Amino acid sequence: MRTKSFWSLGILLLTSGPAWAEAEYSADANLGLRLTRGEEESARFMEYRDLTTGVISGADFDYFNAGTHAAGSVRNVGRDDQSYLLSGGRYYQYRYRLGYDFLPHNLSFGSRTFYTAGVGTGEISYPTGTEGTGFAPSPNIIDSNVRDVQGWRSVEYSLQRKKLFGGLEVSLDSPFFLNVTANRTTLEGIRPSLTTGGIYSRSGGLPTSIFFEFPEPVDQGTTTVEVEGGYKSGTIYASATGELSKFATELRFLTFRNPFATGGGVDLRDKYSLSPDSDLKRLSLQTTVYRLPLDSTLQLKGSTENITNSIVLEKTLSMSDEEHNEDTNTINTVTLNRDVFEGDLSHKNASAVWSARPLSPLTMELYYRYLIRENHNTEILYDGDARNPRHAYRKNNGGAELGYKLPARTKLRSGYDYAAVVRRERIDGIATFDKTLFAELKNSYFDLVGAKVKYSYLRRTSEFGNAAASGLTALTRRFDVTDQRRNAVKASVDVTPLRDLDLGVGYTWRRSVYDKTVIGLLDAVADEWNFDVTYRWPETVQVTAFADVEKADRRGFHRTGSGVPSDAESGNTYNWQDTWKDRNYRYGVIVQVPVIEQTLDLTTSYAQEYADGVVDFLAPGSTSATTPPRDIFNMGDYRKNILQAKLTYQVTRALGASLGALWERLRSDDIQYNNYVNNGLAASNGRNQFLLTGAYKDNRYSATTAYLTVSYRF
Amino acid sequence: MHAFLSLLGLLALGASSEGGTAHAAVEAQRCATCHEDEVESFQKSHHRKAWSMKDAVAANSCASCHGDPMEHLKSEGDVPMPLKLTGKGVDVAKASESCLKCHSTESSLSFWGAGKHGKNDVSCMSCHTLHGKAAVKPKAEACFTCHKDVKHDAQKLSHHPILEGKVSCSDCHNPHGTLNHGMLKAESVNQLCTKCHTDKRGPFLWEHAPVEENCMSCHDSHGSRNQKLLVEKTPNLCQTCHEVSHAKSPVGAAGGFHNVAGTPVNQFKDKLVARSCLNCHSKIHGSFAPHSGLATGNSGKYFLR
Repeated sequence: MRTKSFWSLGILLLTSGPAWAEAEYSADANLGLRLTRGEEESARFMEYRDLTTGVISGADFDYFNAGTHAAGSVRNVGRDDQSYLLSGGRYYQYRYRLGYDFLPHNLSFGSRTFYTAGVGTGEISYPTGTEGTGFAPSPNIIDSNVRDVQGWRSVEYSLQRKKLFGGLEVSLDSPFFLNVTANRTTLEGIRPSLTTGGIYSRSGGLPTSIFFEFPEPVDQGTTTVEVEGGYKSGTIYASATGELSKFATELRFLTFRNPFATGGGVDLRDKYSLSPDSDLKRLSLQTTVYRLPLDSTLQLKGSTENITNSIVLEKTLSMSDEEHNEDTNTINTVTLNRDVFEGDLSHKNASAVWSARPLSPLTMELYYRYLIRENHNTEILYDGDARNPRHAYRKNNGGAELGYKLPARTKLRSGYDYAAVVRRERIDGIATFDKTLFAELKNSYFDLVGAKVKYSYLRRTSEFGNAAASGLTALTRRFDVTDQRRNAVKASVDVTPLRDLDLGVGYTWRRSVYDKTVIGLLDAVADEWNFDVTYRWPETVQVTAFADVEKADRRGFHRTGSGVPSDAESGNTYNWQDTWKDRNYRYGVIVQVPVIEQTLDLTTSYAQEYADGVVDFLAPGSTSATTPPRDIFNMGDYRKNILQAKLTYQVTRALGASLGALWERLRSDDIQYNNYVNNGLAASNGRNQFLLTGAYKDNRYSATTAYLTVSYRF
Repeated sequence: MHAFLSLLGLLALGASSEGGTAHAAVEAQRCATCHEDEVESFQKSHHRKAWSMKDAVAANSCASCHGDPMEHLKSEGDVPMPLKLTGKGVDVAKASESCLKCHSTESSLSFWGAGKHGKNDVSCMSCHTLHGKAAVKPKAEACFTCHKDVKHDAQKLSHHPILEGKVSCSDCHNPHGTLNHGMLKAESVNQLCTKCHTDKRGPFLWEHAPVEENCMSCHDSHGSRNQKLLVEKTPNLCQTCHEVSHAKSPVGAAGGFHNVAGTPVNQFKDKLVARSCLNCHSKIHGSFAPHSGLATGNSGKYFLR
């Protein structure tokens, strides 16, 4: 079936008519062994994949017979990243798809926690050791079992996502169609989480700036069903889609023994809120009408989506009120205006796009989009004053685009876009108004060269409601909703100067200036170069080299202390500014060698990725200026090296073998994780105490994996 | 091999002496004389299989897509085929038009005209193969051919499992076009992200404003050097908005991120260690913890529990 003469046989079969009824099929399977060293060092190496030592296998098949077709694939059987897919159907009649996919997300290995009981369940604790006296924040009161890291147990933070999905599309060779898809996705495992150590609802002074990390159980599932039915022809397409989705979690709260809530002979169980259940309903209508006047097309869509839940509210997160009352302190429970929170969020959308070609070289487009997020969540009052915000917004967006074909295979496009967003609950950004202009020129006159350049300009104005507020609030602007001017350029050139040589260069540049901001992010500029070159020696070697260089700087202005200087509008009276400089580089080479044509192929590659982060502190003014700290030169630095090689050998037309190897090394130099300690209870001032488990600190590994597989085609 | 194929073609012609089937066989056979690999790979394609149900001529006629071959044949290849579909110098509009003749009525292509690819002269063949078993080129690689900056992002330390083959670009974008910005598969970024991250969709009692409006305010979905796909490292990401909440930061006294002015930063004495702000404010996407004026240190209002 796979020979080069197959098609010739096909022609013979074609001419003999009934022979078409014979089935065509093919299948192949592979089996092999993987050996890995060093994988236990870091979850990073296996973040989304299972490269552990063991058997690896896979299989594929194709089937076709008189219009009916089917295909299947199996990957990594029995491994954490295994997947299964079956698809097929009958041409012009129906199609189906059924699959099961496993996605691991290894977050951190080798972590340690003082919670030795119940890890992975909804209640975690540790056995009582020797307990001090007093109350947090004194580190002396912490239980000896918590203070002694040697007694902590190991924990691996890892999540496993499993998705079972299926779909059926039926048209029966008619203009009408019905599509049904369904999936069930579960997420299980343990992930690291943190919280403050203070006792909820304890009266009196609360310990602040103390926190601890703990293993949070994850046991969630989402079931989604979507149905689309409609009509399609050469002049119109119209359909309606309905979707139901249910998210449910086994746990609403995690109960934990609070290490900072001991003292006075009392152990307090606190709770930590987890994700809420929710139900989603969605309905959308969409249509496209073709062949309208001016060679135009009209596309319309409207949708409404509603997410709801119903949650019984807690008045305290402490589990043992009665027990705690034995303490000299008292538990405070909050008063609520309602006991049950009824969540109710809606997104409603309407979109229209009219695109036309009134003249042969001219294209034009007009569009309008409307999106409203409504928030009908229950309003809850805590102790009669604190109220939950209910964020909502309304967005109107419209614009026009023109495209014109110029001589010499040149195309010019230009457009204008306007967007207005009006928000509820955000006094710092009541509304924003974006006006964007762009122009793009594209040329491919010479077959050997393709070039494109685009420029865009955004002017954002905002309605700021904090101008009359007290303190720094009046001066602080938030980057996501404040005034902004943004210039951006994007260009690319692809050249083929020789038949066997390809060159590509891409460039992007973007600068945002937040011109009304006194305190906050002042400006951000980023540029990136992407290079690649490929050369092919005829029927021998192909070499590809690539390099990416990215620079990003963000400058902020800040104030020490909460007081507002008298000359608030002068930046010099503020104390300091910081510039965060990120540099990212990636370069490498790929070599492909057909050692023996169509029999033995070798592919090797090497890549290095390097990230360099610097924080540059400045105190530009003299008035009330505080000497800034020294610059930070290792803000998230890392270097990753990847070396790969793969040799494939086609022994016979049916039998083949692959030998592959991968070496990866990651080195990290990050001030936030350097000199890491689990137990940070020694702070003398009672602040900044912490108990960490080691999550995300394992950004250092050197691992090698190799595999040999044998494949057979049937 | 060519001689064998020519002979086979003659045999085929003899076996079926009339109608379009014979014509098609001759045409494909003649094409294979020079384009053997292409004709062979076409036999494995869905196109050939599907067309064979309705139109045996089309199923084996290169002209179905490439146009009338007569001039090309007469000139023994000197005159190119009327419609070049791949490689340099392709007339993209015509190439895509040849596909849309049949595919324009598919629901996935219903918004092709509104999509960026259609407007930017990206041809169907940039991503699809008309010949061969697979109808689509390897997904991420097909996109990365043009979107080189995204390719760079996807390989950074924090990324969605795109290169691992567990998430594809088309999970979030419809390359055939939508009515939404960025050809997203949902009307807003948040509606899209929460299709997978359903635990983040709420509704929450305590909502964080930027979370409710746009996930991309804090995350870069294509990849980032920072943990959790954050656009910037904490504490700076948080601090650019929350100057007032921690007014003394970062060069303040004990409450600041860097508490010793003029000296090297000591992350253990500061709030720089580990996840910084998120060490305490870990429920940043929303919370159901109660709020008490007496115990604000653990309040859901501040996303602490």
